[in-house]
This record gives sequence, structure tokens and C-alpha cells, in this order.
Amino acid sequence: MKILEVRNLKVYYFLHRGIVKAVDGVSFSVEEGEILGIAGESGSGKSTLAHSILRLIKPPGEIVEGEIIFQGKDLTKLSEDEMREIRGRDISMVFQDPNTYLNPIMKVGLQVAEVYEAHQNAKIETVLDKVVNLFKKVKITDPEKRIYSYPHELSGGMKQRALISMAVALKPKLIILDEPTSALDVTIQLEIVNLLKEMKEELNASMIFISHDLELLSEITDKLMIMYAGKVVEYGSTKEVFNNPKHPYTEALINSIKYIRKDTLPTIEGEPPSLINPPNGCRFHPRCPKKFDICDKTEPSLITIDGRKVSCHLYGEEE
Amino acid sequence: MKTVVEGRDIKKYFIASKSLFGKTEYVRAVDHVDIEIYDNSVLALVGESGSGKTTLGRILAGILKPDEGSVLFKGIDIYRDGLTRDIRHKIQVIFQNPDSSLNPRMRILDILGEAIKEIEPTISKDDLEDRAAQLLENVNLHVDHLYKYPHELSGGEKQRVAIARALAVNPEFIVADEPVSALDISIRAQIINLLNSIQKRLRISMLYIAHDLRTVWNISDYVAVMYLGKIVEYGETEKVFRNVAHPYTATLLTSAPLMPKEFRKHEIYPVGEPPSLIDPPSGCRFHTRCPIAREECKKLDMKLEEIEDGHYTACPFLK
Repeated sequence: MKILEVRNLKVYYFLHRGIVKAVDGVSFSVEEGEILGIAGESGSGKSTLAHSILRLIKPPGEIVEGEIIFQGKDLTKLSEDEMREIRGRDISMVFQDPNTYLNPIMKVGLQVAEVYEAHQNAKIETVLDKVVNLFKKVKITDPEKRIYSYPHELSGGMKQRALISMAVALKPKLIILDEPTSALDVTIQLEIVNLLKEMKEELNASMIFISHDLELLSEITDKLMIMYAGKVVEYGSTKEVFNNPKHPYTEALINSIKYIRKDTLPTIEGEPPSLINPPNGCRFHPRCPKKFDICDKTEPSLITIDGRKVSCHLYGEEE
Repeated sequence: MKTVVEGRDIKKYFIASKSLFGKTEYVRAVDHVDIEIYDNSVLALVGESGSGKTTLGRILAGILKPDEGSVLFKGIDIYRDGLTRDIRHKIQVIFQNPDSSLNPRMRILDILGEAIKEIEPTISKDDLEDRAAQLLENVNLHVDHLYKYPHELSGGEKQRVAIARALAVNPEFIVADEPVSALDISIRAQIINLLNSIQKRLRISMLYIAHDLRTVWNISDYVAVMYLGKIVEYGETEKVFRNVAHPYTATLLTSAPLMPKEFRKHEIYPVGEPPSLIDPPSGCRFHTRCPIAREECKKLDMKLEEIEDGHYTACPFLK
């Protein structure tokens, strides 16, 4: 069953330099219990996409077109009050840098308790034991004491665990993770990823896991969507995308995470394009090793091939 | 093999807190470390945040005086005998974030020009431009960039400029402190390839500081693994990866999901959270996180023992 369906979403930033088309016609869906990975470089639009699902885009950014269907409702049509009900309760989010999202002068346990206060009108004092339980679940040591710690007294990994406890507190159906481990050390990263997998099983929730780290995504996701310059270039089961990448960009990305000893690493020449004046035709064509005559003229559409979606002229047009 | 840079018994503590009556607390960033970098070779210094790798790098680069111990550059004790102008040119540093190492108010020509004038104070304006253009060419940047300001360049281009500036004074030893960590995956490989080819062509010795084992495997001849201010394992890169001899190194190797199987000899993962830097664990500092720790580890002297030719470890128990 589909828990979320995004149709032709366009999110633009209106700057005086021009319009940044950060997300430009993106469609995908998330099944119940599924972990969808969204990969891309900085500027690919993956983070904007995540924020727009929860309608967290602020001016000059704006959702200009498209639908975000969650449990039968189009989130783009809801009022701000209705959205506030959904955030945290039905869809929650974990961000990259816990320091920006935790209040530095408030004890962490109380911040987590606020989730219950906001959605269930519970008094903070009455839900502290629930918070202790949550902390146990996310494997924070010494939870009875830790709920009275301030953020600066916790390590980066602990803070991220506290944020995860907040995200799972109300048993949401969908958890969006925006680079949740990028600020952490490698050994801690894996622990957090394993924790997220456990949480997902326990809640039977779906997840959208956004990261630039393909290696990590290969470990945790069921499906993988690769974005480039605001567009989806490839979308399919993680295993198949990894074993047999179809889009030249995906192929190059996967090559770039191979272990190669003392030899030239495969590169993607050039730099990601400007989103104000993206290249004509396929946006990847200036960097593409396999480009041919029509690539800089016509934009490829996202076609289905071998159970996977690819947007590349190499595979022709859909009948 | 000829040693270019040698650090002997280096100690650097930072004051963490000082109270009028209580005792002063120190962060033991580097705690009695010996290290050598050989001529025309790359030593990778690996460790997580807080391991002291950046501090050690700065000490070896001659920009941070250690509390104890000495740094010899080609036999000259740079902190005791003072850094001559000549030695300062021979040792160059490339930092993680080019935004903070390039002056935003100077054109690239002036940034490079400043460095060129260091060794050729009387150079004519035309020659200076020629030299600067050639430096840009060496790092595969177009000459047009000479007349641009740093903000007009992408992250990868800025890092190339930083590399060009380091090369301007004909260095013999480069400390590259996480030079690709801030860059996108597709750009990382370009910069690593560039560093690799420059190192080979100019026969520069390099200290490559990183936490990303993929680039370490690619670029380094030797690797030193640091944990809480101590080197726990050291040796030729091939030997350390293929025949890992310290449990901390082993956990780093297993924490990367796509690490090739041949380097996952011990499938072990760290336990718990990183300890405080102010009050590090007694004995082996890794014992609180080590999955194979024994009682005696609490009293273990972390001395590096040679286990095979040129391969040293501070742990006698990982077999």
C-alpha cells in the first residue's frame, strides 16, 4: 500500500538573480514499511524535496506545482494548522545537525516531552516516564539521568539519538531523515543506521532516507532514487540500481565509491550545473561521457525499463 | 628510506577549563606520539573527530608549537632552532575548507601572486601573471580564473586554487588536512587524482589527514591510525588494510558498508559512546569501546609493537 505519493512536484526559489528550480517535476511514492533512499550531490534538490513534503519551505521558496498525497490527503492543500497536526504525529523528520534543532538552554528530556505536550495536551511532568522509555529504546545510556542533561552535555551521537526518539515518540507512519548521520563519525554512523532499521521494524513505519553517501544508502534502503539538478535520473530497487546502474550519472556515482589502490579514481568531469540556468536537454549532458546528438536538445522523460525508471536518451522513448 | 619529517615524543594538551581553586583540566589532544614521514611518500593519518589528528598535523606543519617533544624537518628541529623563511616555504598546508583559507577580497591572481612573491620578491608583473597562469594550469583550472574572486568559484575550484597556492613556493612537504571532506562525491575523486599526480610528479612528501578510508586506500603509502591522542596502529597501507592488527582499526574497516571483504578480517563493531577527551580511559584508551577488551586492558601500556616488518600495533590481543 502506498503511504505517500508525490506527483510532479515543483519547488522553486524566487531570487532576484532568477528562479532556482530546486525540485523540478519530481514524482515518486513510498510503500508501507519501505525505506526509500534519495541520493544526490549538494544542489540536487534532495533536501528541498524532503522539506517540502512537510511543507517546511520558507519564502523565497515555494511549492509551485504538484501534489503530495499522504493517506489520501493532498498536503499541498492543507492549512498551516492542519499541517502542524500532521508534523511529528503522522510524519516526522530528523535533520542533519542536531545542534540546530535542539534548544541549547533546555534539558533534552523536556524537549522530547514537548512532543506529547504539543500533540496530546499532556503535562510535561506526566510524560517523563514515557521519555525515559523512549531514551531506552534509542539506546541512550542512563536515561533517567540523561533526560535532565542539556544538549551540550551529550555527544553528537547521543544528540542524534535524542532527536530520533523525538521523531518516533508518536509512532508516525512516515519518518523523513535528512542526512541524519552526515555530521557523525563513521563508527557512530553505522550504529545510528542500525538503530533506525530497528525503529522502522518496531513501528512498521516507512522512511525516506536522504543522503549523499551512497555507501550508507546501499546498506539501509529498499529503493533508491538518484537526483541530479532538481530531476530524478534513476529510480528503482537499491540492489538493482547498484548492480546494474542504467543512467550514466548513477554509474559514475557508483564507480566513485569503489576502493581503488594507487590508481586514477573514476571521476565525473566538470561541476554540477546552475539551477537558475540549467543546461538545455538533459541536465547531465555537459558532464556525460555517453552523450550524443539529441542530449543537448531534448529533455529525456522518465521511462520504465526492466522494472526501473530511468531518464536517459540511451534507452529511447517509452511507447 | 630517507625521513623528511620526524615528530619525536610530541605532546600537546589544551586547557579545557580552569577554575580559581579547582584543578585545571586538559584535553589531551596529542599524547606522546612518535611519527615519521618518508621522502616522496604519503602518510595517511586516520582517526575520528577528537582523535587529535588535526592537532598533530598542525604541529608537524610548523604552525602549532607542541608542549613537549620536537619536530625535525630534514634534521632541523623547527621549534627549537626556529622556522626559517626557507623552511616555512618547504612546508605547506591545505585545509579542509577553502572558504576560510582563501581571502574573499583578493582575486585569484593576487592570492597566488602573494605566494609567488614570497620566493621571488622582485618578479615583474608580467612574469608574475605567467607564473600564476602556469600554476592554475598545473591544477587543471582555466587561466580565466585568475581574474575572479573566490566566491565566483565552486568548492572544487577553490580547493584547486588552494593547492596551486601551496605549490607556488615549491614545497617539499604538504600537510593536507581533510582536503576533500567538504566536497561533493563527484568532485572528491578529481581532487584526489590531482593530489596523487602532483605528489608523484613533484616527488613531494605528504601527510594526508582523513577519516575516509576509501581515499586513504587510494592515495597513501603508509597509514597511522589515531585514537584519543595516541597512535594505535601504523604501517604500510597494504599491510594495515590486509592484516589489521588493532581492534580500533578493525572497527573502522567494518563500519564502511562497502569495504571489500578482504579487509574485513575481523567483523567487529565498537560498543558504547566515545569517551571524554578530558578524562580519557586508563590503560588502553580504546578499552571502553573495544568489543574484545579484557580486564588487563585497563592497565595496558599503549606501546607500539612491531608485528611484521614495518607494521606496528598497540594491541597484543587481536589475532
